[in-house]
Amino acid sequence: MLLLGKLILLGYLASLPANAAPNAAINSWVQQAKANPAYKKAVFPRKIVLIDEIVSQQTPTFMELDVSNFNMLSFVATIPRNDARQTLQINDPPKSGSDEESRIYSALTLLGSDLMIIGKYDGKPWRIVGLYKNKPIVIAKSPAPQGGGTNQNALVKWLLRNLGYDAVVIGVNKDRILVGGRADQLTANIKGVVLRRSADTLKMAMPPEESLVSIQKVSSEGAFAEFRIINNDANDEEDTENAGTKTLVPVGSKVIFPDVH
Amino acid sequence: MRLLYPGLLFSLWTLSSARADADTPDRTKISIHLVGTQDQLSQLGANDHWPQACKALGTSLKPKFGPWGLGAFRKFDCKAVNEPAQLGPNWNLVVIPDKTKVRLEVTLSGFSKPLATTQFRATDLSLTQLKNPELTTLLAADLLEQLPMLSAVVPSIYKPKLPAIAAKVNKGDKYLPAPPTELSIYSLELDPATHFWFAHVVAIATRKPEAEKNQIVWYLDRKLPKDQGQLWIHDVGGRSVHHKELSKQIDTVVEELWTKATSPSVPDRLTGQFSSAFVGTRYAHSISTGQLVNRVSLVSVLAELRGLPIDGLRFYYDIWPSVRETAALGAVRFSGNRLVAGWSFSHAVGGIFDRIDLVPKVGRWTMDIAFNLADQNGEVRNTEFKTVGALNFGLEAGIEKKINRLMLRLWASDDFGTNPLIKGSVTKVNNLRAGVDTLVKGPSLKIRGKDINLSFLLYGLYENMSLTKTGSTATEDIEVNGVRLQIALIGGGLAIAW
Repeated sequence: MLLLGKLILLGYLASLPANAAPNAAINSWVQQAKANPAYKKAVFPRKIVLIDEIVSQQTPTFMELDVSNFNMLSFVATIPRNDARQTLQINDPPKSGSDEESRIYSALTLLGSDLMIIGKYDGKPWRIVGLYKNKPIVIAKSPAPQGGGTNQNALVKWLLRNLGYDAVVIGVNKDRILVGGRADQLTANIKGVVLRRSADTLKMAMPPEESLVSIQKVSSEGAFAEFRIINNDANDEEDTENAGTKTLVPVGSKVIFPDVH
Repeated sequence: MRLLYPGLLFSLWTLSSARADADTPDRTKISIHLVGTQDQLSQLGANDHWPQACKALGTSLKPKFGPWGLGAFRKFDCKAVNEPAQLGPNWNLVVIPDKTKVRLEVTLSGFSKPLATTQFRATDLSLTQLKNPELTTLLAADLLEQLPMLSAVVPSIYKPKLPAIAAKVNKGDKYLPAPPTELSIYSLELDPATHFWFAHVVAIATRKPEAEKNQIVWYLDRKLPKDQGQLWIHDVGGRSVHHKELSKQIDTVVEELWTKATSPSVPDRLTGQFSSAFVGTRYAHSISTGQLVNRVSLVSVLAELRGLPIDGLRFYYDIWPSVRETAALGAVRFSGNRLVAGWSFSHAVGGIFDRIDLVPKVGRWTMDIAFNLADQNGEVRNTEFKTVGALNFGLEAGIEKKINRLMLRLWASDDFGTNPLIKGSVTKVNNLRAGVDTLVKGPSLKIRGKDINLSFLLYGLYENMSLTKTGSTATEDIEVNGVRLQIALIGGGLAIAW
């Protein structure tokens, strides 16, 4: 009986994934990438804020969502409700005025947020709003995600689907690229495509632009994964030569995973 | 669609804690500057008063000692300069007196304009007024509420076992609005490029009204982390939530301090609304002629309680010591006393007089009078008028004028008293009075840090007192049913106030 128990335990241990330990190399690369000026200049959503009422007497009201795990689900982080509220209250708004445009501008600017998701549980479409030439514009408008935002994974999927891509290139090292995506997608052994001319675009048009390079996952850690360029789709006018030699995939380029769509 | 990313380079600069190293400015320290021309500083008595005024201001900005026990700056230093302030690299509080206002501005190096401002009416006594903790607490509250932080979290107010933020109610809190009901506790970062503050909230604290007496306690929803550096506190309601209320209270306190300092020792039943308490006693003697009336005297004790919420409450206790004479028809006598409480509603006015007031009064009268009076047939009888504990209602009106150390008050009062509990014959009292009070400010003493002012009182009054018997029984002879006494008195006394 004791032997049987040991065998079962051994069998269980053997069944655990080999990469269950934190992938230190990827974590380290993520830290390096984030310190890179190219990362800071790149156009993609790093931080978002979730608001359910932007025009109110005082500060905007923020969605009462538990976003404690949100930041582990993808490369996109949310600003906690209390932080956002307090930050808006201790600063003078950069744009005076109580109209929606002024309030959105002030909130996005003060919070250092790339996007604002505005929505309520009232059946109306939610809006994804960003700044374009210092003016708020609606980037996407779509029915609320499944669960109305209470399902954090559904909220992440909804956001990226509305932006038109699955992941973002956040670091490049020869034929290896570091991608930030959704943790649930990156666990699979997937192939992806880096989209051409996508580095300075927050939302991709559908159907997507033609591909710049194709990539194959090497390893992953949470919402980040290392990919290898497997073929170079670029022509001469792109800053890309053949894979493995000199490939300039711009940081901030958008990635799609066709197989998991 | 191609979007330009706003590209905020959020290189955050954390406000340092008190453990700041030598190269990092201490963000919990503030330098307090008094700025003015040489003449201004001299006129304000800066050499004499600024050190204490600055100390009071700085203390009101400190955690534990500031408004509601909160405060953002653990340390302060004081400077008085007659040139535009050479502001330091940290927080600065600049006190700028001009002809009409004393402005207070909180600045931080790198910012083009002050982060907080407040002001109060300027007088020659402005620096003396700034020594008052009630005023400095109000000013500190108005300033701190405008800043990105109302208070620093320090061990003296953070009770990790509860966990809670707790502070004792300070003396200076007297005129403050109610403490905030909810506080945010957060770390604070400043983006030096944009000058935006970013708060990372670590806990929310809620005030429990039933907390210990004289203590304000906000209970935290979680323990505070130890690895977040300096933590700060602000009202969840936002900045400047009490600004209007605080501005009004600042004006009130400044006005009270001014009146207290400039009026003849104040305290008097004359001026009403200032200082904290007044007690006076005086004696007057009749200057009228007539049987017994020429011997009447009056001993009075006056008290006025000041300070919210009993500001304006007055007590009067007058005694007519018993006087009597032997006469052919029996002894004639006069004695009585009255204990009256009143509430002064006063209003400052311009023009000839400084202030008017109305004082509704209620109290108890006791009178015992016997006189030889002629009845309707001309027959002289010894007639007694007596009432004990008659309920009295009255109304007094007065006008005041201050002239240097002298205060003058003209007043008139009508009182009516009866005893509704007595069946049968009842003596009713109707007392119409008018008079003039003068008060001369005397010396002041400082006892245990409190100013005790002595004043001299001089006064004269005329009383027209009617006593009437009503509701007689069948057996009682009431052919003489009323008497009217007209007495003029003059006298003086002493008063102290604190």
